[in-house]
Amino acid sequence: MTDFTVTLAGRSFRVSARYAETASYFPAPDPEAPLVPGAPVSIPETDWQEYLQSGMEDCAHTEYSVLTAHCSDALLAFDCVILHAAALRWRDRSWLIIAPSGVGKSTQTRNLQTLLPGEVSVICGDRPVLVRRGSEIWVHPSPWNGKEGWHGAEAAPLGGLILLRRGPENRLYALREDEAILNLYVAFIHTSASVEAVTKVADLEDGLLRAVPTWLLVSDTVPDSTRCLVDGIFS
Amino acid sequence: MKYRPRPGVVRTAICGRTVLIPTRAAFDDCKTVQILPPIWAGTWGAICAGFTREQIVMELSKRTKTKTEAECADRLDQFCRMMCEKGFLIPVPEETDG
Repeated sequence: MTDFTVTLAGRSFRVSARYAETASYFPAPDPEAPLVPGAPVSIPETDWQEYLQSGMEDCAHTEYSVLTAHCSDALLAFDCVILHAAALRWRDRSWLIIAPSGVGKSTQTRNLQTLLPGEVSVICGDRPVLVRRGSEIWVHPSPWNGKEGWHGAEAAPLGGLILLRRGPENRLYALREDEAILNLYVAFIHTSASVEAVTKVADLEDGLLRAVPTWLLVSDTVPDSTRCLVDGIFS
Repeated sequence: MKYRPRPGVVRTAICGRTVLIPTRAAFDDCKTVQILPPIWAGTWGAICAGFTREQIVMELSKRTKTKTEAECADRLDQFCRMMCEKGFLIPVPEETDG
């Protein structure tokens, strides 16, 4: 096993990995970030075997990818969690585009940057860290930036959630809090290992939905659907 | 027939709605997250507390006001069947004498 340190949302965690190469996927830890005491974050052997049996390759890249859930579990104690979303920064607020892989988060991100040149930057392309500070939610970068590797913008307080779905129209809908519950819950990344962890994630989701507005973007064609975002939110 | 919640299913509240979420312990049988409408949120509590079918039906009938006990019984049975199919509930055969 190889031990190294990962900084997430201002805290450093020790990680214990099977592959020495896994550490190379993570940036150098922040020397100013306090180190969280206790056992290192690691993937239990039973979990690792499940991932391999599901068809994932036995390699460092897989380990880097699946460490997200275990790191997210460690973050829960600090009112933080990792979400599967593209995290953008616009006018000093962060905006989350949430959808399963392949639906078009990256396309919408790219189009927003084209339609609003110089205004939109990317905090994290794939799995940002959400931090609850009282009634406010902050979105932080993470080492998991997706295949494009987009990142670089600083953390920012959350401005809104955009659930993205493909459909037969290009339209933006404002959602009530409870209308977003199911689609948002499945975007949280964690192992669901315990009642306490699941309860904590649900509590964070409750805080998230109450803190900011939520929209549903139904996208049929791009960049027409992106223009709905610009007209409805980013203007 | 009585029912009990599957071990590993968590009942919680998000934005005022009752939500059932499986932990890993329940994943093999229960793969979805379920929002319970308010009337069934109360019923879920009664099922978890071990109330009999008759007790739950009587309570439902009082709460719905517009449905007869027979209609409530029918809807309860449908609800329980659906929740069993989704893996949230496990049927518990009632003990019989002899």
